[in-house]
This record gives sequence, structure tokens and C-alpha cells, in this order.
Amino acid sequence: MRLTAKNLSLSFGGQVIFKNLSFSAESGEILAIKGPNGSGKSSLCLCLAGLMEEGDETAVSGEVYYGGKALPEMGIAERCACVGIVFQNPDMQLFSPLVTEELAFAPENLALPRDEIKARIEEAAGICGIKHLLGAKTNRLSGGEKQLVAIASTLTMKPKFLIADEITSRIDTDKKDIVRNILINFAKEGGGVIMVSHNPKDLEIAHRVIELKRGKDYEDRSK
Amino acid sequence: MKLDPRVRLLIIILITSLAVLAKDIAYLAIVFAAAALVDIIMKLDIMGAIKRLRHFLWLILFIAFVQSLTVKGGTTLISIKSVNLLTTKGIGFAIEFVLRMGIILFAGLIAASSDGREMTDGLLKMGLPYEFAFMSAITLRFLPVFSEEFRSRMNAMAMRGIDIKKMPIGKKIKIYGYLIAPAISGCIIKSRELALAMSSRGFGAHKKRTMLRELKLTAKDWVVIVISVLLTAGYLAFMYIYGGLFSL
Repeated sequence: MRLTAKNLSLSFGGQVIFKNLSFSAESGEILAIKGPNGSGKSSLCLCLAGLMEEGDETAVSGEVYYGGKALPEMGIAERCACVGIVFQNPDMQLFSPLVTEELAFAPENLALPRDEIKARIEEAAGICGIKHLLGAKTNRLSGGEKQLVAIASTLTMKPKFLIADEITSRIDTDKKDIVRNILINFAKEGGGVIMVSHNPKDLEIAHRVIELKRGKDYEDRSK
Repeated sequence: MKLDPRVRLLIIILITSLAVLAKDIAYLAIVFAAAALVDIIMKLDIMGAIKRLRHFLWLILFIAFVQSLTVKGGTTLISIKSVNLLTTKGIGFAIEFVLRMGIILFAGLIAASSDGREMTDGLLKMGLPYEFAFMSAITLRFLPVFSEEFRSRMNAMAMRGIDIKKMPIGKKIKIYGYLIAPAISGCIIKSRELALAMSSRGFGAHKKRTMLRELKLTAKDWVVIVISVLLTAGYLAFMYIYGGLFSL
């Protein structure tokens, strides 16, 4: 599957954050996005995940396609099968008291049968190495463990593309390596990864890097 | 005693309804005792809850004290010159208030005893639209978030050399007023993050969602339902006959 972004532009309060951003990413590829603070990296992630909303101050234009189909044409379930997103702050991504419930949340929303929900929880927990945490309370987890649970929770939707918005920035070093391996394996198994990061070690695992420059042109360079 | 979340919800509804409908101290005291008994039978940690809520309990007692001074009527017990300070009606109101709050706390303890998202699943199984069921779960999720936001701002002030504990009460209230607005705005920002995380995981994808947890009413649950409903109905009839009900 191919992700295609066409002429994406974003401005806040009349100030251009990025304009006419066009790029594509393939399954099996890790595409990194970097740039200074305020260059719109997180907003770009929201646009790619179909979660960016226009507001009084926010103007968004352009299109995002997954496998040739535009995001607005998709229903929520179809969108979830195409793209999942993990955010920077692990504390505000978990809303269930137990890890198992957190992992069940997305498949329950997708109205999957109970056996399928159980299978997906097992699989995602295995990928993220958190099977031992399945019975744990989410508020007792460390930041790194919470982030792994958030990733696993997204993986239960089995998305074709995974967007990772600075997901290693608030976790300790050993968990950063685990997260990087999860992203590498996700791409190896045919998924596409869009990864926002400043961390040089994160950028090392990327096949391509796009650099956003606030209000200016962007730079797309292959490694 | 492990009960289905729907049965616990029913018990909570019955107990709190009686707390609202019972008219005076004697009837409320019986409901209070019944609620305490339910918590004891369910082996809930009442003492632990009292320890955790001690600040709140002091607030309840303070409100009861103020109420006893402001409500006038009945026999005057304490007066200074021509001003009646404490009357029997005032004391009655205060005791009723404390009993009602106690009943609500006992009922709250039943809700808090649930394992994970059991209560939300119970509400869903009872036919409540999942948007509303999750709204209640998320509201509870935000209580510690608000407290954390407030505490972090208190710490920020302490780091700047402002010792709130040593301040006179008037100034303290003023400072708390300044802290509430940024704490709420911090919560709103966090609620947006949470909403995005929920949307990204397919919340609202279908009209009906499935559930991992299997909820089945056992024979024990049915026995508890029948006993609870019969006792509540009997007590309501008793209060009705003897004039212990608030007229609706």
C-alpha cells in the first residue's frame, strides 16, 4: 500500500506552518520527519492520520491517500485499518484502568468478535513484549511501559501504516531500543512507518528523511 | 463478595434513591446502617476509604456545622442575647446531611470496588449508549489529572519561594483562585490529547461495539437482585405508611 500526501498546507492564525507538502511512503518503508519546534511535525502527523480538524484559527488544505483512496472518503473503521498513530505523551494515551482493557479498546470499537479481540491482544502484546503486563493497572506502569502499551493498543487495529509522533522522547534508553525494534519489525513485515523524531538514533533506522522548515519549503532526502 | 457490575449498579441506585427519599433522621439512619452493612458484606475497605477521604470528610463536617448554625427552628439550645445560635432543627438538618453524605460515600465505595472498566461494561450491557458510558469513565479518569495539574502548579509556586502553607487563609484562597484557571486549561489540553487517542483507535466506528469482558448474571446475582429490590420496596412502603417519605 502507498501513502500519498498531496499539496498539504497548514496555517495557524494566518501564519503558514507548512505549504504544498507532497510526498509518498511505501509499505515496508520507514520515513522520518524532522524539523525545528513549531514546524508542524505533530500537525502533519494528525493530517496523515485523518485527525486534523479545521478551526477558527486553523486552515488545512491538501489530500492524503492510502492505496489511492482519500482519507475523507473512508469510514472510521476503514481509516483504522489503514493508519494508526501513537503520540508523544504516554500518560494521555491510556484511558482504561487495566492494560488488557486498553488493548481491547480498539478492537471493541471495531466491533470484532470476542475471540478475534483476544487473538489481537495476544499478538500485539507479544510484538511489544508486554505479555507480562496484561493484568497490570495502567496507572502503575512506568512511562516506557505506558508507551509500549500505547503502541500495542494501536497495533491491535492491524494498521497498514503506523505514525509515531516522537514516541521515544519521553522514555528511558532501554525502552527506546525496544520501540525502535518494534518499528523496524513492523516495516519488515510489510507495514509503513512515518516517524517524527529529533533523536539521531531514531533517524538511523529511517530509509528516508523529510525535513520541515517552518513556513518554508521542505526537503526530502533519501539516505 | 464478587457481583456482576449491573447488580452493583442496581444496589447503588437503590441505596442512593432511599437516601434522597427518606425524610428524617431515624429513616436515614436505617438506610445508613443498611449501606454500611452492604459494604461490610461485600468486604469493601471502609477504613481505607475513610483514610483516603479524610479531608473531604472534614469538609462534610464543616458544612454540617455551618448548616446547624444557619438553619433556625424548633427549640433553641444555645443563644447569645437575642440571637439564636443553635436550634434543634439546625442540628437535625446537620445530622441528616451527614447521614446522606455517608450513604453516598458507602454507595461510592461499591462503585469504586469494580475491577477495571467493569462498571462501564455494565452500563453498556444495560443498554446505555457507549458514548455516555465512556463519558462517565473518562470523567473519573480526569479527577487525578486535575489534582496532578493543580499540584504541579502549587509546586511551581513553591519553587519560586511562595510558601502557601504559611499564608493567612484569605491570601491562600486568593492564590488557589489564581491556580484553578491554569489547572483547568491544562486539563482541557490533556482532554484534547485523550480525545485524539480515542478517535485514532476507532471510537465511534460503529453504532454498537463488542466487549472483551463477558458479563453473565449468575444465580447469586439474581438472588441479590431479588433481595435488594424486595427490601427496598418494603422499606419504601414502610416509610410511606409511617410518613417517612418526602412527598414527591
